[in-house]
Amino acid sequence: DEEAAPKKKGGKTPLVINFLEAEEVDEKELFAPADASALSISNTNLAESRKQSHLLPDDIHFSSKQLLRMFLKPAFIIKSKNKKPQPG
Amino acid sequence: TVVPTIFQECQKSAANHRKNAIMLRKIQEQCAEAAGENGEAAFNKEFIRNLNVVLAIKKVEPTADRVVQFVSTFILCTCEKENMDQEDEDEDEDSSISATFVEHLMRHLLKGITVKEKLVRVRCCKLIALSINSVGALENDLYVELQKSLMERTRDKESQVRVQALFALSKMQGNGDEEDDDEEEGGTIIEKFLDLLQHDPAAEVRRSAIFNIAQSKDTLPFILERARDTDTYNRRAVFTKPMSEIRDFRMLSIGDRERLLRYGLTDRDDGVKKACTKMLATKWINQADDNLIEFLERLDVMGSSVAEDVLNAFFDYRADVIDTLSFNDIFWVNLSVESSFLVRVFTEFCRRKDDDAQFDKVVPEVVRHAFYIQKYSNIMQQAEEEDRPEAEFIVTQLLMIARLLDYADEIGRRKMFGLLREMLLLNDLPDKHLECIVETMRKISLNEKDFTRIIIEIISDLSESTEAEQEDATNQSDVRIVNDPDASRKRKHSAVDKSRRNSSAPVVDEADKARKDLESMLNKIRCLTITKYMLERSSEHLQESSYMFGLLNTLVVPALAYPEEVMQDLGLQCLGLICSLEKALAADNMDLFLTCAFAENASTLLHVLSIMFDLILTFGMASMSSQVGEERINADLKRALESEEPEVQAVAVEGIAKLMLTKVLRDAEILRTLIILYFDPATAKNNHLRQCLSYFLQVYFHSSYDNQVMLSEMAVPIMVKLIEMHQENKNEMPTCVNMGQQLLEWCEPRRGLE
Repeated sequence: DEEAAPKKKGGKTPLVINFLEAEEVDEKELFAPADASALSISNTNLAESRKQSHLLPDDIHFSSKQLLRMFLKPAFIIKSKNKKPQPG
Repeated sequence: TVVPTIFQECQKSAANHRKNAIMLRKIQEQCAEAAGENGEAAFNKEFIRNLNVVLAIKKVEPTADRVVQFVSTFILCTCEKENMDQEDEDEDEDSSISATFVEHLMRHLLKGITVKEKLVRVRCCKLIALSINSVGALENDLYVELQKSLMERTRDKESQVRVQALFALSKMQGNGDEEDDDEEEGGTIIEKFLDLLQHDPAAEVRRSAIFNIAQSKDTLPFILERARDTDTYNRRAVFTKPMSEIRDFRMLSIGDRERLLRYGLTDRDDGVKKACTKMLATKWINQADDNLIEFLERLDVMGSSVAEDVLNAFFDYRADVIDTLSFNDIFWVNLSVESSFLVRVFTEFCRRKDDDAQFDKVVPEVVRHAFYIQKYSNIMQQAEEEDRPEAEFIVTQLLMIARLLDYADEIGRRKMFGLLREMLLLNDLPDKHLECIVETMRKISLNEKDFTRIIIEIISDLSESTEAEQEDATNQSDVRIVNDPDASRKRKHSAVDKSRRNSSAPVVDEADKARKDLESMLNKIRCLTITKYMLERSSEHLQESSYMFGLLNTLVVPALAYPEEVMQDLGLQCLGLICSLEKALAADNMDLFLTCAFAENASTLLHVLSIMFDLILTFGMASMSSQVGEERINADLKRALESEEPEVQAVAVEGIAKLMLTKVLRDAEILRTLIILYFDPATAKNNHLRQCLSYFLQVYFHSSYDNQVMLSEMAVPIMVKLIEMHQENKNEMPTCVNMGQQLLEWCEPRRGLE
């Protein structure tokens, strides 16, 4: 009772539905009902997902620059080798 | 019949849909004319038969989607046609063909949205969504039934179905009569939307909610919140759809505007940034009549932290506007908060882009600019208290521009120098002014030595002038009016007063003496602040600079002895800055700093930590610990890591990270503490700390094999500790497996950065 015979010619050819020769689709099968439990998300799962808000924390944009700066003189860059700060 | 042929055609392309829909409508009419109700029923049956073929297809196919699209086109077409006919003729038919058809179809789809096959559910929901607007009035109980089933489908197990159900429901939002039917279960449609918008685990469902939710005072805050959604496309969607289409962005509170723009412009994803920029540079600006000044008025530039980013994004996006900006004499003599801000940000923009030609076109000559500063500074001094903040703000902008000017011209240089020197002697300048002035002074001076000399001279003038004034005042204290009209100073006065209260000065007769003490303290604060800004711009070795030592002994060291926190903190900062210029001095003072590290108040502690880290970074651990011992320093650092004050903790982490990366410090125990802190649920809210560690730990391990060895040697005890912690805080920590994987990832030798 398969309808329409999806003709797949290779991967990329789009499916052509053949309405002209299509057989009757059995509505009983098409609309075969599902168990209520299989259909919907359970209340417990729902409650669980309500705890999630899917938000990112505030971003302070920490970067390498910050690790290379002096605390008191932010314009100066740490130079570890000659240990003398240079204006940056 | 021809119906299958029409369906056959429609799957090929959407271009022929309209034509085919009209054709199909003709067939529908013919059926009805030829055989009345039976004909209609036959047509409907044939239509459904063909539709079923599509519904039954097992895979997601563009051709199937196209047919679904066609069905909705047909519904629109048949309903339109009928309406037109009804206008022409009188309404003689009791029930129209299309109404019967639509009802038949909807009942059919309704059966399909609870079936086992998920694609059938998806397609049925989608068809309902696509058609619901064009069908016109539905019979009430059918409408209610549809809505009810769709509401149930919003908790379908398939996210695809939820997406389509939301889409369909969005068409029913605001149709009013929903309240009566749905209160028992799940609440109204809007509530459903808000729920899914916030909590649905599938990003696409949340996105569907972002796109389709109706905007209102109640929903806006939740739409805004999605600007920080974990899904990049969702964040972008907030800017491309609801926020671009908002009728008037003043519907958002100032705070919300700020937050939204900050999130958008600082997002790590370029697409989000662009969407936000496009929104403000094409839509929002439009709401302000394409007028930048008016636009800025809606951002509260004085209190805003994003207005600058907003303007920069705007200049970047709208290069066309840049050429139309003009700043003539009339502009400069009529500055407002917004226009001064605009020109300041624009000059900085030009400098950043190295666009000297543009910059020169904008700014006046130095002499002229000095004249403007003078003018607005005078206005500021004469301003009533309530106008003072605006006046200060305008002067700030002008001083910020002054930092960028070219001082090659000697006359301009002198003029500006004279003006700035005078300004430093003025009472009660905001810190920002002092900073800009000091910075411009640095630019005007020949070299650092010259700069230091000039500033120190000014400071000594300042101290002397008040001392003289004080003597003066003592001599004629009876005559003077005690009531000081200079109300604008109140802010600083009260800051000092507050911290004074603790010291419980003997409240005796002399209100006048108290006032003079206050004067003298304010003056010292000003001197210390100027000193601080000067030192922040100095890097040369002190050597024998008697100037600097003079300053140290007469101003900085005495400040530390004051009971007021303001004085202590400033003194401490200045001392730290001077020490960073002179190794021996720094070593001598380590003991003092370590002692201060037991201070109770967080701000002092933050300063002390910053100083210690800077000094150790500059001069090395060996020389800094020569007098106090390395153990004592390490113990203090560890204590700071365990501080209850999140900011202190964060600075400690950042400082230690710097020390470890520069190999000044290498301590397994401290490293262990850092890793534990990284996972500790107690630091979850401390973004600064977390983000610093996540960056640092990766760089630290992946940049050096030795560091990886150090970690691998203690990985097991760390893991044991983490598992223990996890047992107590199951929900607030990553799973043990994840934490273990992270440790392994850090240890992975193939992941070296170099």
